[in-house]
Amino acid sequence: MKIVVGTLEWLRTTDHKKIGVLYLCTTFAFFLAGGLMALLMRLQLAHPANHFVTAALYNQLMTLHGTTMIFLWIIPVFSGFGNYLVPLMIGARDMAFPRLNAFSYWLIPMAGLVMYSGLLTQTGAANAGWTGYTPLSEAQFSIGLGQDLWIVGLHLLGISSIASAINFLVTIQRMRAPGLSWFRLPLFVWAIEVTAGLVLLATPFLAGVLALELMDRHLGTTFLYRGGDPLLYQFIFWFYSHPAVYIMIVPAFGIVSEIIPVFSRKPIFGYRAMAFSMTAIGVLGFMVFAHHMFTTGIPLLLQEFFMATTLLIAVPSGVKVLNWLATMWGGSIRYTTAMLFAVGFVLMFLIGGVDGVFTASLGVDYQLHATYWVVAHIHYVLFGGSVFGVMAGFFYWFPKITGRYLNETLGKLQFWLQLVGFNVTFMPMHILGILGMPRRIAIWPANRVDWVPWNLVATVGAFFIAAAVLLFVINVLASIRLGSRAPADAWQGNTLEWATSSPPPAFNFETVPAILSARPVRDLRLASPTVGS
Amino acid sequence: MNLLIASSAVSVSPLSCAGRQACRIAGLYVVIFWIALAVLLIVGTFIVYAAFRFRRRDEREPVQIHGNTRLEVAWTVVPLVIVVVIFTLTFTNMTFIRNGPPPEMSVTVVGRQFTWEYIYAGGKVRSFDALRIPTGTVVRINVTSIDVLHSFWVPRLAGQVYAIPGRTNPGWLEADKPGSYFGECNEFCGLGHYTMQATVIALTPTDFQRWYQAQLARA
Repeated sequence: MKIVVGTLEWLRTTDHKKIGVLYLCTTFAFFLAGGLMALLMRLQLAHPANHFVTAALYNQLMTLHGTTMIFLWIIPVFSGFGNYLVPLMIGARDMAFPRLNAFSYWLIPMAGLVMYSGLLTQTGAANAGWTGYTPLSEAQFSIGLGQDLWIVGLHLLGISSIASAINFLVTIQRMRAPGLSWFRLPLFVWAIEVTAGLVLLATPFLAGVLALELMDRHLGTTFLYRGGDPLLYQFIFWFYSHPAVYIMIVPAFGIVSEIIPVFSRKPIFGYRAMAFSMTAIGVLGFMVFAHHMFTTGIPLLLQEFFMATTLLIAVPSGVKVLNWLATMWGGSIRYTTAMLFAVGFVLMFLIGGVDGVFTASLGVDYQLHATYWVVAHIHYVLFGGSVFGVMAGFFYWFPKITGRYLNETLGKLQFWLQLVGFNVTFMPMHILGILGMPRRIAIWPANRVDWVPWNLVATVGAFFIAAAVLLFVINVLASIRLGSRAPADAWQGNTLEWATSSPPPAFNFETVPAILSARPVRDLRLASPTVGS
Repeated sequence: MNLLIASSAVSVSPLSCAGRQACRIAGLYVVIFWIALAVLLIVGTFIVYAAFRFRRRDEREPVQIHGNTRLEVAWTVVPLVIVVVIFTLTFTNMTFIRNGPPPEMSVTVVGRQFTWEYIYAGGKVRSFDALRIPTGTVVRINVTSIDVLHSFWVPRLAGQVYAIPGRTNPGWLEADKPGSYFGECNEFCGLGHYTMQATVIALTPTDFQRWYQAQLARA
């Protein structure tokens, strides 16, 4: 009976904290699913001429891995953090539209199931890659329901994203506590604001192009092939999907911008520069999309324009890295697992930024486009970057969410396993790229002997990552019951979520403390040294 | 001498270039590589140094520094200068890389699931197994597709060109020495994508003429 009531409560909740937890758990389950697909792919690619899985299955795994990690894990996991933290950080009782919030969440598991249900059809799940390029994804070349279920799933996720973006924008705009001006907002809230803006402006383009594709498939239109133009799909798709890259990394910028100052015991270096650089990245993010299309034969002048904007976006990214470095400089750094992951994030993001500059250079991109170099680059940004940021966030806010700390010994072991495993997996992919290995090939020929060692090493590394993730799962399950108890202010934090109990009460704050700076909880601590202990 | 069944080791690395376009790109790559490595090592060393040097040793609160305008301007300007250098380097090479010297012959390259067809000027000579070209000759390729997207890519000779149904994309190849150059379709094109190999066989101009005339006679 108690379990039934408890379950019902979670099913019908509109509380931002419960919805946040639902987001985090659901998206993590999708992360595990996408990770298993990655392991199967790495097993297949470990050797030349391998037949561990069939090419047909490999293509489905490749498509679902990309789609899962991007649309069912990274994008919504940040909505999870945003949901849990934004109202707490701005001193609000809930999100602006709690029911809309619940609706946004419930679309996500549904969309995932719709997409995966393709696996149960005779022709299998979608297998045209996560980019779903036309004409390959048209009815003539992708027969069966898999591709349709993929499109419908993405549509549902798009609706979910747009609704939650509106919710975040309104919440941050209207519900900040008195005294919490824009330049006192935690940088994580800034990050969510920028991200929500990107989602709101970009996602309708994805919905539009998917609608065209669906009409082509079922209503006999030819928007995107035959009489129509396959490149039209790419232009619209990337007009969404490049801003989406920033939707996937900006919230991680926010997370590490919270964590590094707390464990360095210094304010973030150049607060305004950090806020402006996120905004600049958001704006420039809309002007670089055709760099995914340098090899499609678009006019040289257009390519040169997009090369310029793409190179330009390296500047605010560089500012961020150096400001994080300057925050640590002269600090008093305490290495909790959260801090280790945050520093790991900065280093991996640095590599992911630098290797991206190669493909910004047009000529070099003609040789590196769609090779394993690009696979390495996106994983340095989205795994070394975003996922390390997510892990930092999990270790940092777990005590707030559950009232208990995650185990630090297991956490540190996980960090080192993950850092080594990640680099062993993805650094060799740069070499594979420059040795001419294309991505998305299910079976590679035996005469490419120079690819052999690097593919094997990458596969071994993938299992190190899997071990690290397994350690995390064990840590969470054990610490929920056995972890040491956390006080309200678990880490000597700066921001408002640390002013309320761990876990917070249903309506968050009995009284919202006065906000006189960007670090209200530090102000409280200095005023009366006993608060929060 | 069947060049297609290459059982021995094959390199498809753009760095072991064998033609002017690929070599120009390889040169560009190498310059960017050293710039990138320098940035990575300098910034990376600072981060690792800071991570060790500023570990917590006592419970005193460090000096609270909120920023430094001069420093922040410096590390906005320096990356800007670096990307301007990379832009200029690339920009000055792009006309050559993209358009090449005036072509001396041209071939239409047609992609289809999961093979390439090569049609020589005049349309009488067609070949499916490999694209044969004379060495030291600038060959214009007009790349198109009859079904889905493909990408024609022979990394040791030139950068890739997309094959798009309804469009023709120009590219150019030139091989310095006789030999076989391999590559793969580099745009995912369906179930048999991984089997879609591209082969260019460079022959001496005399050998090429002999082969071409033989094909013409057969046509």
